[in-house]
Amino acid sequence: MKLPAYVRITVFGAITVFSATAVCCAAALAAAPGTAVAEDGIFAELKGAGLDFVHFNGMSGRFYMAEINSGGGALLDYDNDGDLDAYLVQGRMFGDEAIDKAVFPPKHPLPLTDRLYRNDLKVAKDGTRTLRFTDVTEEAGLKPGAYGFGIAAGDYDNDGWVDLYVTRLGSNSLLRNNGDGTFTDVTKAARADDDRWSVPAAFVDFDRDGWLDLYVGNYLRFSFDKHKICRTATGAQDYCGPSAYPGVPDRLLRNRGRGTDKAVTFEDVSAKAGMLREPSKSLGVVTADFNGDGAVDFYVANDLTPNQMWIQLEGGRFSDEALLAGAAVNANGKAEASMGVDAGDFDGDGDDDLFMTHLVRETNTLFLNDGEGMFEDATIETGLGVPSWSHTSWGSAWFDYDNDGWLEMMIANGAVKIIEELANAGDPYPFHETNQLFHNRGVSGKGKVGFEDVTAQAGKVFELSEVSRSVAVGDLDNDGDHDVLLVNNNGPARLLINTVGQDRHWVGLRLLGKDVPRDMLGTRVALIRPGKDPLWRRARSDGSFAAANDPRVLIGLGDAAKGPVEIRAHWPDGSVEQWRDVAIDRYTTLKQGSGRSVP
Amino acid sequence: MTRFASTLFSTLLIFLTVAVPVAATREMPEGVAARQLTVPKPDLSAMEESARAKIESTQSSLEDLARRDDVDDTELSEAFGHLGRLMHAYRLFDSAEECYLTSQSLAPGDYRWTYYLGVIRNVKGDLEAATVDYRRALTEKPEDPTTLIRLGDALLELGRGDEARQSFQRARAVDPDNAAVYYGLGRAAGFADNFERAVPMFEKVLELQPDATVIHYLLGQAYRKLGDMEKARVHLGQRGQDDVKVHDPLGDQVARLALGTAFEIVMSLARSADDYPDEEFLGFALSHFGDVRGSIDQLKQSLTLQQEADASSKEQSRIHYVLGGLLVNDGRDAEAIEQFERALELAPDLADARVKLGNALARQGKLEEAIAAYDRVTELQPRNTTVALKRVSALMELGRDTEARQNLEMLAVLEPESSEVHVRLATILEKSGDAAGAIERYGKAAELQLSLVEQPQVHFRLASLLRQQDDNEKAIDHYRLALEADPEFVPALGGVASLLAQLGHMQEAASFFGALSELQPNQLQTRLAEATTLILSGQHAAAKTRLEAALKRFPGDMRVMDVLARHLAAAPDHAVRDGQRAIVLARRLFDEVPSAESAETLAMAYAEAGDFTQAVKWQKQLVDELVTESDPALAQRLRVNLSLYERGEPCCAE
Repeated sequence: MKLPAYVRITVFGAITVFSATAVCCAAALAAAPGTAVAEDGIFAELKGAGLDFVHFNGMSGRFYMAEINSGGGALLDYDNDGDLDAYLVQGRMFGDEAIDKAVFPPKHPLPLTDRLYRNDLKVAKDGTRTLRFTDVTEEAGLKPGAYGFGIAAGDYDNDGWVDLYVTRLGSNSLLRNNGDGTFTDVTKAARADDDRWSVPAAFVDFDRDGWLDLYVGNYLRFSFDKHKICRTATGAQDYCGPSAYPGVPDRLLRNRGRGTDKAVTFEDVSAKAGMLREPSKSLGVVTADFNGDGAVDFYVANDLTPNQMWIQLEGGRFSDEALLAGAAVNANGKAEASMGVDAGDFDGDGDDDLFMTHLVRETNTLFLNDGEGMFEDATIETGLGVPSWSHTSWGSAWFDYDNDGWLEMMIANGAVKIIEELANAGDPYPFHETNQLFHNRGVSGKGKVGFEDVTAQAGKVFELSEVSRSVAVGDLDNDGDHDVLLVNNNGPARLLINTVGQDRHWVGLRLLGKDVPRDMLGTRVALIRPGKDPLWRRARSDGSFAAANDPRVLIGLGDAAKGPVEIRAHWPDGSVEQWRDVAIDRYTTLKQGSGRSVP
Repeated sequence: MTRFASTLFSTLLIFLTVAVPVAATREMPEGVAARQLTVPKPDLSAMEESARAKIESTQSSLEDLARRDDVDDTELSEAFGHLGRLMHAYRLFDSAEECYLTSQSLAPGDYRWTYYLGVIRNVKGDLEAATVDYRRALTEKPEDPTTLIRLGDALLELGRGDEARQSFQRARAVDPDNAAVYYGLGRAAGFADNFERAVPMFEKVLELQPDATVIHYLLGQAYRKLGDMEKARVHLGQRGQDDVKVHDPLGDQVARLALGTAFEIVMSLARSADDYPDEEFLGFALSHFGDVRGSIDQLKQSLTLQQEADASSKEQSRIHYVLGGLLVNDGRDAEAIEQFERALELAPDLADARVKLGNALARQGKLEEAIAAYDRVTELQPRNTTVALKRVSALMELGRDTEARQNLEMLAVLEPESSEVHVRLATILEKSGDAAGAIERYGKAAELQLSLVEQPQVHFRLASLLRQQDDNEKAIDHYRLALEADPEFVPALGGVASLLAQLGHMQEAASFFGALSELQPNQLQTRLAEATTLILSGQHAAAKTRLEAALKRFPGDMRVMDVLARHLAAAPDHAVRDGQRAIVLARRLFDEVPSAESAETLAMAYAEAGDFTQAVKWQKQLVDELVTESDPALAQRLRVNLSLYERGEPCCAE
């Protein structure tokens, strides 16, 4: 029998959930039979644990641009059992090409579908953790769709079960979580479709009406019959760049809530919002209050066209302020090939800064927020410029892997044009690169935050050269540090288990609504620190490239923490509450209305 | 799979080709250890044939040269440098780097090879190595401004602002009129947060190179950081993508080589393709030659060479054809026509050239000739719908609608799945007044797969025709479908809003007028229609907000003032009433337009403000002057309101 959502809240909503013990580390992560966790660096790859997804890109030698860009995945708790499951977005053949034309045959049975893996995490009394994933694609009722790209996760119908929005080259899919382990495709009924080439998407309640709205980023106006042939300087055929096709506007879908027929539907408010007049080439989107006025804004990473910063005005309207704000193009005034994007307070000054990834021979870019929505390109001085020059980068995520209170950055790399050196060596898929990990050194002597490239210490999995695309972060084993789901194009998805975060103290938070038992995406959380500025984090699932992240907030406390901490939450509806004595080294659920109201 | 893709993948998959450096042992002078000179051999399998042939032949010559004893190091370094530049032009950077390294080792004092190495390493992202190369090149040619600028750029990327500034300053001392120097100095100043210093540097760039529009962005940001938002906005508004040019003679050699190699590839593709994939190689030409004019010049030179060499008519026809395409891209239709005609003289069955000829003739207004060209294509390709439609367009432009219609009807039978044919036929039927026929054809088109451009148009036309036929429900459906395809399609928004208002669905109408107002904020009629429908649907507060917004945009407009004043004086929702503001507006209105209507508005306003003496006075005057037997309704209204005011009640309370 399906447990009604409100019953679950009674059980889990009280205060403490996910009762992780304070002592938990990679050593305590027991390998299930056939699994292996090597402790060889900051991250160790979890192998043989059942997550056997291999991305199929549909490559047939015709160089369809989409085949080289794809690879998305999500971390979400679809069965509300307290641990993160994994959803992997799958490709397919393009147009009417037969599967036997595939250069690299699919590893999964036909017809190809996205795949869902249930996390069957077991925590023994001594804190030992056993991670095991079970492929539940068939029982979840996932059906084949158009060629998949990205994913957003959020409980759009406020029933306490996280739903999914999968972006595709063709009709997208809104998958309603039925709460019984299955999903139903309600795209048409919910009026949430977009049949163009969509890549990023994000759920957020921008109009503060208590229902999650949806931003859908569209990439290029592509059709198989207008597929273009592009070539290298030697005349060899290669993948086209974004200039080969025109851009298309994104779509903002407002959640209309539950209608009289009990159905939850969306309305397209892109025109009203003022977003339709700017066609773009979106590959990434992130939601945050960039100018500190209390309203959610959108930042859109565009491929070779200026990025957009949609600042929310009154009446549901938005204005693209990126150019004036210094966040549309790089410091030299050039629009770059932005792919993934993430927002986070990497310098601990209380506002969300932006990091976006770019093509080889461009640097990735870090835009530093001044707190009022004005930005400065701080790529070079933070040390993130030079190491990115020779990579084509995609998924990127701010997360504090070592729980020292400073946000780090992981970057997934993989080329889109043939790499000469690899082609010369006869490589069958000459696009692969290694991924990168950057450690945040905190405030330097000059008062500026800088990064160091710690890829060499990051673990053997960082030595692999693959065509990586999506990075989704989340605490897979509930041990209080962020792990990573890495999705490769034309390759296996990988789970990177954090081996160092648990050495420090942390506080984990799940933020639930007052009347609705869902994760309150967009909530800003402050850790109140005596004698120091608060440390700010955001409950989010958006960011990175084609990914959905753990919606819980995990704050690293460093070595100094000794006991319970004080937390303040700025909820999406504008209300503010505070909790004293929130336990550390465990996850705590903070339900809106259960804290002390702060004027 | 295309031939090229096939070549690439078969090669990649079966690992046929692996880069195998070929070493040529060379006898070295006494006392110098024998060196192995390696000629790089990248994988050429996927390359276009002319490119592969060119590289292979250069490699082969170099190997021969390296084996000879009578060749000195200088000559060899030149030969390796030549191959390096060729690889560089083909963007085979690893191979180019190897060649330049060999050249450098053979001629250590020749700054060119060190400079090229710096450029290659810069491109590959090894900026530290690039700065070492640039510095070494500067020891060989100390005051070379280009190298100093490249060094400054690399140092800036490395975050070494002070060193970068020094390098740019050295360059300025040598070449004070070089825009790239000031671009570098400005960025170095900005890097040090010295925007007062950065601004004059960027201004200097614009003075030296006014078309470097990218500088406006840097200026805009510098002014923003200095707090001058006005200047920031002005410059950001002028921002463009045109870069600051760097005078780079060595770089130009590679660029010219790249131009030549790209040209050869284009021509080779043109020769080898049976079906003249013009878009493909025209696009390639444009992207690699850099600009249309450069491409045209290259082709003209090539044509002369081909003619001198007495090349086959087929070869020449293809060059004329490509040249024609480029001229079309450059907007030079008259010259393009000439080239297409020459191509067709040499190869009369070249259908694509004939289509392009027809198109160019049509654009030049030579419609009869265009039709003749299209007819000839149709003889060669009877099922070419695109050409048939172009012919129809030409016929319609000539006013030969009947003939066009007959052509389209025939096409509709032959190509029943072509939405474009149905749409064109519908258009011509609509033009001729056959609404029913047009509806049928648009309907057929709507059932087919419509393009994103066609969808809103087809549904809008259907809606308009159905509305004319009083089939309003269906018309609304199609307006909605048009808006689903394009929510900002103004004609459909206007159409559905007015029809809904006409049918009394004021709330919905107001919402569409609202969307229209957002899209066309300067259209007063739309704003008034929105306010009116809001009032009629009982949304009085919203109406007030929208009218206030309209008045803000059109401050002196009497119509807005009148509607707003009346709304403030007499809205059924008393919460939105504001007598004092209504008086101000009505007074101003009456002063500007002293009419009976404005007097009535003034009376309403006074009554709402509680000044019933004034209200009665103005209303009584109206009753005395306007009440006649000819307009009993007006008389009734004026009297009723007068009695309200006399009783001390505001206007129109019901």
